[in-house]
Amino acid sequence: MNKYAAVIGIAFILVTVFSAATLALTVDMYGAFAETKNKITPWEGNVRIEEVRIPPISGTDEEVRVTIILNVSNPTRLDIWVYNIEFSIHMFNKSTMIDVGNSQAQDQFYVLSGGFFTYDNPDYLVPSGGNALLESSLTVTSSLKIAILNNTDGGKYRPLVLADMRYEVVDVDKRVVLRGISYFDPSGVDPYVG
Amino acid sequence: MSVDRQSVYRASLALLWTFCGATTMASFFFISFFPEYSPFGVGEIGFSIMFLPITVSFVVGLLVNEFDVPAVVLISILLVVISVVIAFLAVYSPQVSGIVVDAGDLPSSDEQRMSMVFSALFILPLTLIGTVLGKAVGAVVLPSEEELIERRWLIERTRKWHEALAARDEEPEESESRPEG
Repeated sequence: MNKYAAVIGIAFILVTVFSAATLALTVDMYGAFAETKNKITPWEGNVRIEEVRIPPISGTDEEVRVTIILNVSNPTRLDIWVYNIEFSIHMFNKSTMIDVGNSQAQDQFYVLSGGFFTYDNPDYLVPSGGNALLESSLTVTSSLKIAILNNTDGGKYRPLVLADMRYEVVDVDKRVVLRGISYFDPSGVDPYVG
Repeated sequence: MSVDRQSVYRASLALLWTFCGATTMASFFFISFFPEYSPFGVGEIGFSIMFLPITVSFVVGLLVNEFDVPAVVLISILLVVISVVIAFLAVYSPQVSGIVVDAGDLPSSDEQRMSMVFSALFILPLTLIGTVLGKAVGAVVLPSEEELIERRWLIERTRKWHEALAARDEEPEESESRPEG
């Protein structure tokens, strides 16, 4: 090898070291994103509906605001920012037979779907290794729906809540849709007096 | 069978350049497919599929120019194989390291992985062209020290032959011009 080839060789090794370091950083971030996507899930226990707040209903002519509190733990290395929580609510009582396969039967107990998008709320940022209680609400105005909602059993509501959460992994600017968050407490929920 | 040290040295050096080229190609290939995870972008995917294999293999060809063409072709095939293996190891690294269990949970989609496979098919011919071209240019511009010594020896030897021939050609002329008797 002559001296010019040696110079080219050394430059080539430097380029290789630089690209290998970049590849290592990229693969690390790729792995971190995979970890985030796989750990921030209800089945890993890091996303769950902590509380469902339904106020006492006195009549069908009022507006009822239903709120859910989502508990999100972030055990991963990347911060996430929750920009959407959407949920639907069904109301049951003890005499209700839940026929999962029959959508018409389900419609009898279906109240409403709703949620929110937030694009500028820093409260919805869940830092790496942190935990946050996130709130999402919907307002029921239809008297028919309020009647379904007011289906109490021994003074307790028995709601079934199904929720979706959309979040952005901040460092990678990638958005993830998380479905399948559910809540049903067989012992019922007391009316919420705020 | 004994292998002389010079051959081992040359083969090791060729492997080093092949590995360097493969790492560079794999890095840019992976980053261009997944720029969102990289600290900086490398531009379009076409850059990694078209321009980069030719450039990197050209440099490898320059550095392994002392090998003959069949060996250079083998080096370029090895270059492609190693780079594709590195790129796919990077893609499946979360699964290899146990972060995810199923390939469906990887951050890359099936479409992205399929397009990587198809793009990898384009790399081989381009790498072959680049390496052979690099070898051809390198043989002219960057000959090895041994080759330079050999060339100087050949030049010197040829010059001596020419001188000897010239001297022999001159001798009969002198004898012809010499008067007899």
